[in-house]
Amino acid sequence: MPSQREARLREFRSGLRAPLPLVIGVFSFGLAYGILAIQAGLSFLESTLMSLTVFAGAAQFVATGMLMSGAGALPILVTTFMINSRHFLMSASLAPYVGGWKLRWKALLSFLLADETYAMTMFHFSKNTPSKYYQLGVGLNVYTVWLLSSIAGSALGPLVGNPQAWGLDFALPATFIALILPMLQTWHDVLVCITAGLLSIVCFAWLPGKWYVTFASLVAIAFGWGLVELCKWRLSR
Amino acid sequence: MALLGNARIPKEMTHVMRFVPIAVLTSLIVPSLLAPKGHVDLSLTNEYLVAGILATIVTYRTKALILTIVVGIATVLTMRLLIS
Repeated sequence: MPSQREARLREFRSGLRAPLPLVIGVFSFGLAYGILAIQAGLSFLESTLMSLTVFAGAAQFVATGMLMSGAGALPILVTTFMINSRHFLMSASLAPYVGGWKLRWKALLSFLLADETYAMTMFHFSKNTPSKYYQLGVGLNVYTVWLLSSIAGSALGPLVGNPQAWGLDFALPATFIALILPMLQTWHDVLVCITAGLLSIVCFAWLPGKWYVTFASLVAIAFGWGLVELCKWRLSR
Repeated sequence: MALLGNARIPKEMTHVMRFVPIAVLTSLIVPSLLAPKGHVDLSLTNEYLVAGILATIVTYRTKALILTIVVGIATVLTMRLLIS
């Protein structure tokens, strides 16, 4: 059916286009990773292979830093697993949309899941009919940009001294701010955001590694759930 | 996602799930703004905090991602030049 193929192609294309505003953020992050990986003593091939197979910015940064400080395989595995545990939460929230999709699609889209692709996909799915072709487009875009920027960074590694000198390190926080704010549509959303912010800074000071992300967000979500239940209970009285 | 994709999730859970991206992204970003060097720094010499506040205002007013990033980077860069 050509009309169905056209519709799929249209979803795929709009998915490819969606992260374009994020390209600067992802690219500078990947560039910074590539440069750091070379400075940590990884070869060009090793650094590129990590971006090709891992595709997780925070985990790659931490793994690179730990390799630099001479950590063994197990501590690196445990720490990167912890960092990426936030993807359990993200995937769980996508689950209602992807129930009927084939396992190989879900496996592919799981691999392409990252903070940025998750935010774009979730935002789109909340307003449109969920399409795996849209999510594939978003994922492939960010994956390609990540790979190319990481390669560029590894190539430039010996030349550029420090990405911080260019202020590029702020591109990612700025991107996240621009992603979060439009999601705050009800008072519940705002309260959950404030709770997560306060908790994360407390947990950041008390918990090791990047545990603060997982812990603070879990408690903030539970708090939001409580709010929803409380409102229901008050309405039913 | 591959593992949980077929699990049935109660309908009311989807309402709670909308909090997930808000909570996760916020708890990723807040410590990096308030403690960019590993310890909490609420002073105005913390360029991440100032740039974060300006970026929030720009996003709130314009909803333009590129503008937010440009203002954020420009703030960080200017403050580093002024402070150092």
